[in-house]
Amino acid sequence: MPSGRALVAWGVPVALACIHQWVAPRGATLWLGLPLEWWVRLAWIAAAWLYLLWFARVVWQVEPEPSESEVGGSPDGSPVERVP
Amino acid sequence: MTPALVLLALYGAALLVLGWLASRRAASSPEDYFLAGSGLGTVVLFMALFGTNCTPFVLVGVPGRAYHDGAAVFGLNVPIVALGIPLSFWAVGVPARRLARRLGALTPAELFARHLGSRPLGLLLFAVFTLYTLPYMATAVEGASRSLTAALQLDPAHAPLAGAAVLAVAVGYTSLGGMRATAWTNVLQGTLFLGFMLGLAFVLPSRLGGLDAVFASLQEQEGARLFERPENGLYSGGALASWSLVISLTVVSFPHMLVRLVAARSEAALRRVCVLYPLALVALWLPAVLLGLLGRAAFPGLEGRASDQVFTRLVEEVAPAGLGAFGLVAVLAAVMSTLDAQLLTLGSMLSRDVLPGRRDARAEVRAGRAFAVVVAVLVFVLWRLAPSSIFAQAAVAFSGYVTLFPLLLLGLRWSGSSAGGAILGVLTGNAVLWLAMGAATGPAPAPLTPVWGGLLPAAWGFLAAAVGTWAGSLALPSPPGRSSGERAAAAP
Repeated sequence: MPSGRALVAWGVPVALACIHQWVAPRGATLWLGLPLEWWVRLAWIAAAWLYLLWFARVVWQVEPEPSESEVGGSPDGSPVERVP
Repeated sequence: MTPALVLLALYGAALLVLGWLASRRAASSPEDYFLAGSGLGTVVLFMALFGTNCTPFVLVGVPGRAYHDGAAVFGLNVPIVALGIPLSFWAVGVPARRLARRLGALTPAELFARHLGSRPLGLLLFAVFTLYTLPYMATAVEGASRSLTAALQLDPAHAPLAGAAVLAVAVGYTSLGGMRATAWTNVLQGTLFLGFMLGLAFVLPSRLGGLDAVFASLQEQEGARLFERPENGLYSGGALASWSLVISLTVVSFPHMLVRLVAARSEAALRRVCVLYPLALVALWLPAVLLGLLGRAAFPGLEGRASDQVFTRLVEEVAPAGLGAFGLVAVLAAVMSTLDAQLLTLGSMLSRDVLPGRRDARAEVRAGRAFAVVVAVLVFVLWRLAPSSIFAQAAVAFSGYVTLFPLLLLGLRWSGSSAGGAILGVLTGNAVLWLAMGAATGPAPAPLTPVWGGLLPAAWGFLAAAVGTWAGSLALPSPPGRSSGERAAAAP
């Protein structure tokens, strides 16, 4: 059973993609001086941006940076064993 | 000396000074030269990615397209990439960065060769990256040469000299300071072209009687056509879905973008960049599309590719006097901010993946510098000798890069992926892509012509690559119980 977080993480992009695919204002006019088409797309981007903020805060678990001794690569670029 | 020449000289000098300063900061280690010591902080990382991502296509091509298609060009491109690019940075960039640090890999091809324990895979990736990147670079030099020749009113016979000068400056600062130089110069270049476009968006409408008057005039002449989404071409069902797929996933598949993600100082910096990215896209693209509508009002009746002149004509004929020189520098900044990253990345792959040899750290850096020059010479020769059809193939590049996305994602995030699957996926995806493009008929370029099921060729290439990588990994699994690190140790 997927968790609520997983549903949001996958569901929102899919829903946004569907809206992007099928929603388009017809007989378009201007609204507040700009094409209505742009307002619709800007609203979509605003929703996507809010999702990204949530995603970055909740889903994206930043890995602690390893110490120098753990970073791979000898001076000549060849791989080295990770220090436990 | 004309103002344009003075400005150009200042711009070129600033790039070389930044390259020299970067070279003074650089230690003589390959990681420092190729990845700036994996030390790109939020601002520099953001500008390095954004500057590399944005090409003259946004400044010149988008207004030309919006001239014909209207306001919908914004919706066709920006919303889906505003979400797709940050998510692809997370999906591919984060594991790529973690793994590259662990394995000591400095190039995308090296990363996958070591991770999946296969040198042939690294060579194949180098070949595919080069196949799609070199023509793309040649078209950038062609665009820069044309802009310089037109703006400075040079004899067309001097066009090769103009292209060579652009390449020479780019290879000069790139080989001086490596990744650090290209990232620092990208800060300057991104600021220049983004600032210029935002400035134009504020200045131009008032010189045409105000935005309300422009839009009212367009509505009167053309009805709602320029203000709503068309229902044909790229805007129709299957084509729109596959176009969205292409432009969302292609960016992280550019080798010169992937290597910048790997160079992030920290994952937190990468996360901040992902949150900033959509805002910058809107700030650049909205003015670009607006320019197309303003151009339609100012210069009606342009047919076909003639609309590509809209940017230049608006800058020279409508904008306040003196802005023309800044426009030229903005275009060159957009060209060079991508070109330098491509020179460095292809040069680094030549040095480490194709002709690795046994060198000490200083010799490795010297080889990196020399190979950047070799790539620049190759680009120049291709530009001068290739038939003009090669430039049409630059449109193929975006589609080709998309066929690599399944390998990038599955290779990094699926423990069942194998070198055999990766090789099969890349070969299958590209075979299907080229078959589909061969089946395309009509006036539009093959990559932009819907084929089977109404989908673009890139969508079929992507699907084939995904199935090939998955099925190939199941059929040709890696030896059991071998971790990525153990695979790396086994790799040549």
